Parts: sequence; structure tokens; C-alpha cells
Amino acid sequence: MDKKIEMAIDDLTLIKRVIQRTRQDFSRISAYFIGIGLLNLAMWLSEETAYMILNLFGYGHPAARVFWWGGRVLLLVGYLLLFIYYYQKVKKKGNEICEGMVKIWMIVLIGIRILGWLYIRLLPSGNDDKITVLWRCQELIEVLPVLFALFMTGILTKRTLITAITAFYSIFYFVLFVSMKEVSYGTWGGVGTRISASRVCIQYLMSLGMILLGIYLWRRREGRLKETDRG
Amino acid sequence: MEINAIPEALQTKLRLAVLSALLTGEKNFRELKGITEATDGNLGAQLKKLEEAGYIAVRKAFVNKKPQTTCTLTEFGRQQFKEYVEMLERLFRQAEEPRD
Repeated sequence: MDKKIEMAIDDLTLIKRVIQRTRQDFSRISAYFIGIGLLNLAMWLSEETAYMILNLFGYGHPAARVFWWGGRVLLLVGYLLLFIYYYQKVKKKGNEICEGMVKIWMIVLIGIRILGWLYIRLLPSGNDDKITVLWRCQELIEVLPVLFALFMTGILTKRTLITAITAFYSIFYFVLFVSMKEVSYGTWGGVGTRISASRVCIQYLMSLGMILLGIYLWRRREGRLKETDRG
Repeated sequence: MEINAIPEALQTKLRLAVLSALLTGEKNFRELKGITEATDGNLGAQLKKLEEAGYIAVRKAFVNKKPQTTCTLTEFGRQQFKEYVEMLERLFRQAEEPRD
């Protein structure tokens, strides 16, 4: 083959590979997911503390309210700050997939907090079976959009493992949800409040799950260029 | 651009890889190093050549008390790169055309 044509093929292949690689590098938003996980972990700890105070010192203790609302406010403010920081970062870098993912996750995460809060406000007061079921359904407002965003992340990043684990988690979650199993919560100090196991399952997903997702995206950066591509 | 008059800046694979990476947006030194897997010294030298030729703009700043070098493709660099790719494609097409 003509030397010039060979050179043209080589150069075009290199250009194509580099562009593809920069578009599929999701490592720069891995810290975004780790941040979401850490914020949820902090919220989880603060919620557990609130429950513990309620169990030890009785309902209506002001410290319980501080921990309860403090965790939620921290989460919402943290989400906004993460979004602003990472959105500016990926916009400058010009990675459209990362930009899309940051947007999808922020709409989902802030949306579920607002919708969840509205849902609780609109719930009728009472203590019958119907109200209990409605209370439990609040979980779905939180988990369904997150599962959607996780599936989208798997599809956009073309990481089958993310999609497969999300599918497995979805089945596991819905089995737990319909089983109505309960576990002790806020057990620091010896006493616990019984809450649904599926609720705790969501907390694992939002904290440890997100941290693991971030680590996975960081470790699975695209393959390096070939030896011969280096100048 | 003609095959016999390719600018020097586009004549090495590493410089070409750097320009291709910068097409999608600015990158810092660490990111370029990750993409090209070049050594610090080699990458630094090629960036300097590209900057001198006006293909890229290099910005040095301190981020969290650490020096950070950020590179962006200039309008001239983008134009030259575009012309180079067009030339490569032209070469390709000529090779595919049936000869009499």
C-alpha cells in the first residue's frame, strides 16, 4: 500500500480512537457519585441519631428534630453544590454524556426530595391500615426515579454491569417491599424503632451503592492508546 | 493543506493525539497524560511546541495550592486540524477511486 495512504489510515485511526476515548471517559464524574454517596451516608447517620434520641428521650425532644431536619437540609444543599460544581466542570471539558448524566441525576435527586416532602404534607392524618400503606408507598417516590437514573447511567456509559446490578437490585427491592419485613432502626443505645427493611435497602443503595458506582467508573476508564500511537 | 506541506506541529503522533483530545474541550496536563500515556517530559515538550506554533493556549494556575496546567485548542489550531483531517480524507478517497 502507498506509504501516504498508510499514514492517512494510521492518523485517522488515532484521531478517532482519542476522540472516542475522551467521550467515554467517565472518571471525571466518579467523584460526583462518591459525593452523592457520602452525603447520603451523612444523612443516614443523622437520621439514625434522630431515631436514637426519640427512643431514649421520648418523642418531641428538640435534638431529634435538629438531627432529622439537619440531615435533610444538608442533603439538599449538598446536592445543589455538587450539581453546580460538577456541571461547570463537565461543561468546560465538553463531554456531552457526562453533562447529560449530571443533569439527569440532579433532576432525579432533587425531585425525589421535593416530591417526597410534598407527599408527606398531602397525606391524611390518622393511624389506620390505609394510612400505613400510603406511608410505605412514599418509598417508591424515592426509589423508582433512582432506579430509572441508574438504568440510564448503565445505558449511557455502555456499562452492562451497572444495568445488570440495577436489574438485580430492583427485583430484590420489590421482593423486600411486598414482603413487608421490618427491621430495628436507630438502635444505638439499645432500643430501636421498627421500620421497613426495604427502606433500609434504599439507604444502602443511596450511600454505599453510589460510592461503589463512583469507584467503578473511576477504575473502568477507557483502555490506553497503543504503544505505536505515542510520538 | 497538501501532503507535501504538512505543518510540523501535526507531524508526530503525540501532538496529533493531544490536538484530538482537545477537540472535545479543554484538558489539564494530568488528563492529557492519562489519554496519551506519554511521559511528563515528552508531553511537556510537545505542548510547548504546539503552544509556540499557536495551536493551543496553555494556562497555568494554582488550584488548591498546586500548580495546574490547562490546555485549550485555539481557533487557528482547530482550523489547521480540520484542514489536516480533510486532507487525510481526500487522500483516502483518491486511493479508493478506480484507476484507468
